[in-house]
Amino acid sequence: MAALCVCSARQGAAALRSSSGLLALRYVQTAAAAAPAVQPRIKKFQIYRWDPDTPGDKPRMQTYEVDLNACGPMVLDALIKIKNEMDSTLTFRRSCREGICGSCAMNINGGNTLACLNKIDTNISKVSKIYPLPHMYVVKDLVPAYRWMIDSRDDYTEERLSKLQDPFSLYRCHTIMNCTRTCPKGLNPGKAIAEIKKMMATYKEKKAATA
Amino acid sequence: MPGTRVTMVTVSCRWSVPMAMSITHRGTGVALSGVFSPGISVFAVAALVLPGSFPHYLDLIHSLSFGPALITLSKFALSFPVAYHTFNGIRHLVWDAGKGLKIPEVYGSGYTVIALTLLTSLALTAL
Repeated sequence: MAALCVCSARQGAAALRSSSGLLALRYVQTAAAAAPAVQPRIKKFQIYRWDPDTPGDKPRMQTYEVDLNACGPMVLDALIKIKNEMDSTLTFRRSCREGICGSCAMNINGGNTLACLNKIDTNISKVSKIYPLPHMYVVKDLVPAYRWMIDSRDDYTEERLSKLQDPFSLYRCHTIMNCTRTCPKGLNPGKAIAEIKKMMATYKEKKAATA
Repeated sequence: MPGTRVTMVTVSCRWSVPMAMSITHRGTGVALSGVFSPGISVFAVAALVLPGSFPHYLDLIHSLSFGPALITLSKFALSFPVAYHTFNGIRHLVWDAGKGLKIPEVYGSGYTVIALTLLTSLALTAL
């Protein structure tokens, strides 16, 4: 390290006479001192894989090892790193990488979240398990198939509520509250549904009163 | 897209206290209803219809010479579902009113129900 200082002193002799030169020299010293000490933190990711285009391929779990010192903090960072450096066939959806678009929704360690918002658990002794969203068709690896849903924005309140008046749509909710617990954006669908149930109890009376 | 091959995956959602309490509410409800064992309704009708008095049936149970362990276990097995389903039922009614649906509140009310259930069922078992 002392040799390093002397070398740069000889080469940058003119610059060293200024105070910024001395600062630069000190920086080089400390940077060299810090360099050899850091151990790699290897985290294992166990990821669901399935390729419909490979004949006879069965769904399986594949394990990848990632050095957390060379990776961003979120699970999506790890997935991108794996795809770029280790296995380019790993397939997943992603877009905004900031928790707005919803593309990277998947099941991480038993909970449904967005990969771009889910911090990698830095406990190296645990394996991170990544699956596609449960109860959805899987197109390939971590990519779910979304079915077309009816947009109800063009209906009026009463018509919307009357559409829910059957034992199946609204009343299949049993207030288990898994929805609110897993929401990666901090929304509360459980409360919203409870409020709809309250609306269902009162709107019919209004309708009967006006009839 | 037509022609796309798809598959389905089963992942167990990680268990949590609210989830476990919800299924326990259903379990105690089924147990109490009388689907698999004489339930509240059968007990109520029996109390109305059977000829003997309560002291008569109490003596009958004593004469069967159950061990104290079995008596205590049976008392707990009866009081626990009643207590749990009652207290959690109140929690459900609060939710139906639209209150207490934030996640910290769900956990807080959940632990309260568990504590009240244990206290009540142990107290009833000790009678």
